[in-house]
Amino acid sequence: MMKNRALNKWFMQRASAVILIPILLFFLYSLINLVNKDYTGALNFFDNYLSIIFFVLFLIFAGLHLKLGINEIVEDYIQNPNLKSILNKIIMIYSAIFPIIGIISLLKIIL
Amino acid sequence: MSSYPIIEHEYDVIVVGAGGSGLRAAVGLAEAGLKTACISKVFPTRSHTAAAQGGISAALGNMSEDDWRWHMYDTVKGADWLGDQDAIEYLCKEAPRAVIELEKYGVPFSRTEEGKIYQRPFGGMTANYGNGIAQRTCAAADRTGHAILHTLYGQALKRNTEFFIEYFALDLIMKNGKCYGVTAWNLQDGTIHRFRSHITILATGGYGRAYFSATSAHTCTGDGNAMVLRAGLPLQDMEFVQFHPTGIYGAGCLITEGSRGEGGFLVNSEGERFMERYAPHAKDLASRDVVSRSMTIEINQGRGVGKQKDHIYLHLNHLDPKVLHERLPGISESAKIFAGVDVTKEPIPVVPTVHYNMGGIPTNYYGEVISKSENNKDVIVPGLMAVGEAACVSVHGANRLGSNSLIDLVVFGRAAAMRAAELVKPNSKHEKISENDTQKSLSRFDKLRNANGSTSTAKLRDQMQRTMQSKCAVFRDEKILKQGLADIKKPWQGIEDIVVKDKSLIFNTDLVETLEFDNLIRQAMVTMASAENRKESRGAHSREDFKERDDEKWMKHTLAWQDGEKVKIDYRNVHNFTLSNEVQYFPPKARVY
Amino acid sequence: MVQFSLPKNSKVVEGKYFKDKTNGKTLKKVKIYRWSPESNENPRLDTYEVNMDECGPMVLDVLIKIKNEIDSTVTFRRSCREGVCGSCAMNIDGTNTLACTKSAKDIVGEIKIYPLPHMQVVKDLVPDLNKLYKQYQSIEPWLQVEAKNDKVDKHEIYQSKKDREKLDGLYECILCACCSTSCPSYWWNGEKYLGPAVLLQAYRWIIDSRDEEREKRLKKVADELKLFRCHTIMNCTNSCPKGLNPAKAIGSIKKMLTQYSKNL
Repeated sequence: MMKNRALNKWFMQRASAVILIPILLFFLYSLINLVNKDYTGALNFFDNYLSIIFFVLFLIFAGLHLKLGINEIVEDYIQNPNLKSILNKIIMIYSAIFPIIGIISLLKIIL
Repeated sequence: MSSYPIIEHEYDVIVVGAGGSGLRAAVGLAEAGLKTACISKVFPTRSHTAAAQGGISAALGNMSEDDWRWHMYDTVKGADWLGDQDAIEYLCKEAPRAVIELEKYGVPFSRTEEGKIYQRPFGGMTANYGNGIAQRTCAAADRTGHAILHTLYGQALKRNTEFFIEYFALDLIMKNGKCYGVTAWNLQDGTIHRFRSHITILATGGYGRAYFSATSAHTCTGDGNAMVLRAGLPLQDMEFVQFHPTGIYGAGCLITEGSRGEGGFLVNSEGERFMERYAPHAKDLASRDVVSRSMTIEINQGRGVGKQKDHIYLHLNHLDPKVLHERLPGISESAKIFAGVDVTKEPIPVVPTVHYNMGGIPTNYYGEVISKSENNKDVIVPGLMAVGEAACVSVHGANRLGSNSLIDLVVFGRAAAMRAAELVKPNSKHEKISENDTQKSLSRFDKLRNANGSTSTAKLRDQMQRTMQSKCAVFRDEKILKQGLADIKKPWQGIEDIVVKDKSLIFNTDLVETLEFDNLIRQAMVTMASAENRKESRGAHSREDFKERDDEKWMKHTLAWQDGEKVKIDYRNVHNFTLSNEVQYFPPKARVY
Repeated sequence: MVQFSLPKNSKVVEGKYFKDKTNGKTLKKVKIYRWSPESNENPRLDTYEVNMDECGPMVLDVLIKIKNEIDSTVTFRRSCREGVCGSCAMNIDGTNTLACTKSAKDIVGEIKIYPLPHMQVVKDLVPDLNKLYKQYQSIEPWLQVEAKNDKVDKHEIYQSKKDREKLDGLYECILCACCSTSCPSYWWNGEKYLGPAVLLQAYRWIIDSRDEEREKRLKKVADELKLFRCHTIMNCTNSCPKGLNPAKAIGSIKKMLTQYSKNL
C-alpha cells in the first residue's frame, strides 16, 4: 500500500487489471470447456482448488477494479462533494456485495 | 469626447514591456524590495524575445580561451566605432556573470562533454582582437531566447511580481520634463488606467514592423519609442536598422546566424560561396551588415537564385544530421513549415530581412534616459529609464553583433533595476498629478477610437511599410532617401482620414493596430530623416553616394525629435573613453572581416 | 460547475456573409466564430470569401487578410507568426493548433475557425487563459536550488549532456494551451485538474537534474484532481503544434511517483 491515496488508487486500478488478465483467460478457457456440459458438469468445475482460488480471486479483483473504475467516473463528473461521497459509498457497497454473495455461494456448493 | 473613468495605481517603479529586459528589470526591482508593476500588451512568454534563436554572448571561455576584452573589441568593431565604449566595457565585463545567473535561474543551456554551457561561433565574434574565431555564444539549441524568456518569467513569478497583462500603454505622464508614470488601456475589460511611479522603465522593444518584410513579430511596433517621441524627447541613431542575412524568402521568418556558426554557408546562382570574396577571413561569419550587403550585391548583379533571381541559398545539407537535430532543431522545423525545405537535403532560400533596431531611446549605461539641454549638454530625464531593444545605450552603435542583444537585455535590465533601487526609497509618496496632465493622451485615444474617415489602418500601414522597404533599405542614396522623405509623409497625413470600424473597448484589436500604426509612423519618419541626414556609410547605414566612413564629420550619435511631420536633428558625442583602466579605448580603424 | 447543456445565449447562429469583391478566381470560404461581450447578441458564424491567389499560405495569413481588407473588427491574438510565441492558438478545422503554422491549403473545403474550446471567450477568437496561467504559476516554474549552492558565482551548475537531453521535448513548450483545451478531462475539471500543458511543465522541473526539490514537486502534484484526472486520452499529444508529448510526460510523473511513493 502506498501512503498517497490518489497514487494508491491509480496503482491498484492498474495492478488489478493486470491480475485480472490471466484469471479471465483461465475462465475463458474453462467456459469453452463447459459449453456442452450440464449442471453437474458445471459443479465439477469447482472440484479442484485451482478453480476455487481463481474464482475467489476473480470476484475480489473484479470487485476492486469495478469500484475503482466507477469511482474514477464519479470523480470526473460529479462536483458536489456530498453527492460524491454518497455515490462513492453506494459504489463501495455495490462492489463489495457481489464478491461476498459469490463467495458465500461458492462455499455452499463446495461444502 | 467620451469620458473615461480612470483607475489609479501607485507603484515605486513600473516596467512597460515583459520581454527579456523588462522581466530582468522586474526581477531586480522585486529583489530590491521596490513595489513594482510590469505592464505588457501581451502575456510575457509571447514577447518577441522568444524568437531569439542562436544564443547569448559572454566570454565564459568554456570552449577555448576567451577574454571579455576580446568580446569588447569585437563589439566596438561590429558597431563600426559608433558604440559608446564605456557602455560596451560594462556590457562585456558583466556578460559572464549575467549568463551564469541565467543558468542558475534555470535556463536549459546545451552542454559540453564536461557539463558546461555550450558555446558556438557567431558572426563577428573573434579571439585575440580579430585573430581567429571565438566560440562565445551560449546556446540552448536554437531556442535560446525562448528558454531565457520562459525562465525569466518563472523568476518574476517566484518574486510575486505584479503583472498587468494585455494592458496597452498609451503615453508617458510627463510634467516639467519629469516622468510620473504611464496611461494604459486594459484590453481584457476595456478600462483606462493611470500607473503612477517614481521611475518608469520602458522595455518595449524594437519597431521592425515599420518595414514590409521583417523577422520581427506583429507586435514589434516600438510603442515605447513613440511614447518618448510624443513626450517631446529625442530618439538616437534611428538610421541604423539591421538586416539579418537569413530571413526565409517570402515568409521572413528568422534562420539563426548559429546555422552558419555550426558550418552552414551561403551560395549564389553560380554555386559560389561568395562570402569568401567579400570577407576572406570571417567568410560567412562576418558581421551581419557585411553579409547582408554582400548578398544584396550578388542579387543586384544577377547572381540571385530562384525564378526571379532575388534570393540566396543557405546550405546546411552538408552538416551531420545529428548536429542539425541536436543544435538546430527549431530552424529545421521552420524551414520545413515556411519554405517546404528538408534541411538535410536541400538549401534554404533566404534573403536579408529587417531584424533589429540599433537606434532607440538614448540612455547611459545605468539605463537612465538622456536628452539634450539648451546649452548642448547631456541631461538625464528624471523618472524615465529604457532598456533592451527600445534603448540605445549605445552598445551596438551602427551594427549589432549576433547574440549581443540577449546579453544586452539581461545586463542592462539588471543595471536599470539596480539604479532604480539607488534612486527610489520603497513606498515613498507620490506627487499629485491632475487629470489635465493625462488629458492629451486620452484625447488622442478617443480621437482614434472614434475616427470615421475612409482609409483603413491596414492601407496606411502598408503604404508606410512599402515606403520604408523600398526607400530605406540595405543600400541608400540621396535621391532615394529624398523621395522616401516625401513618401513617408503620406501615410502620416493619412491619419486625418483614418477609420476605425470597431468602436468597442474590450479587446478592440482594430484600435490597437491603429494606435500601433500611429506609433510606427512616427518612428518611420524619424528613421527616414536620420538616414537622409547621415552622409557617410557606417555599419548598417550604407550610402551609395558616400561610400566611406567619415570619422571626421560623423563620429557622433544622431538625435531626432518629431514634431508633426517635421523631424528636428541634433547630435551627441560618441563616448571615446572606457569605464576603467582595465581596458584602453579602441581607436577607429578600417573595418575588414 | 460544468453543465451538460449550454445556456441559450451561447447558441451559435448563422452570421453575415461577405462576398469577394476582388473577382478572385480561387475563392475559399472562411467561417469565423464571432462574439462581442459588449452586445447582447448570441455568438454567430460569419462567412468570408477570400481570394487565395493573393494570400499567404497559412491560416494566420488568411485571418490577417480578412482583418486588413474585408472586416477590421475580426478579433484574434497574433504575434510572432512563426510558431514560437503561442499567441494564435485556435480551433481550426476541428483541431486546436497555431494559425501561423497551419497551412490553409491542407484544409479541404471551407475553413472553420473557432476559439480554443471550453474556455471563456473574451471576444471572437480570443479566449481567457488566466486560469491556465495561474495553474502554471502553482507548479513553481523556477529552478530550486539550496541557497548555499546558489551562491557559487564563479561558474554554472554543471549538467551532463545526458541529463540535459531529458529536458528535450519538455522545455520547448510555448504555453499555447492547444493541448489543455483539447483535453476532455480539462474541460470537465479545468478548475482543479492542472491539464497537460501545466503538467508537462511540472515534469520539466521535476526531471531537471539541477533542481533539488524533486520530492517536494512530486508531492505537490500527486493529487487526485491535479494529476490523476488524466485518463491518457491522448488528445493533448495529437494536438500539440510543436510535436511535444504531454501525455508521455504525465505518464512519466505517475511512474516516478511510484518510485518515490514511500516519501509522499
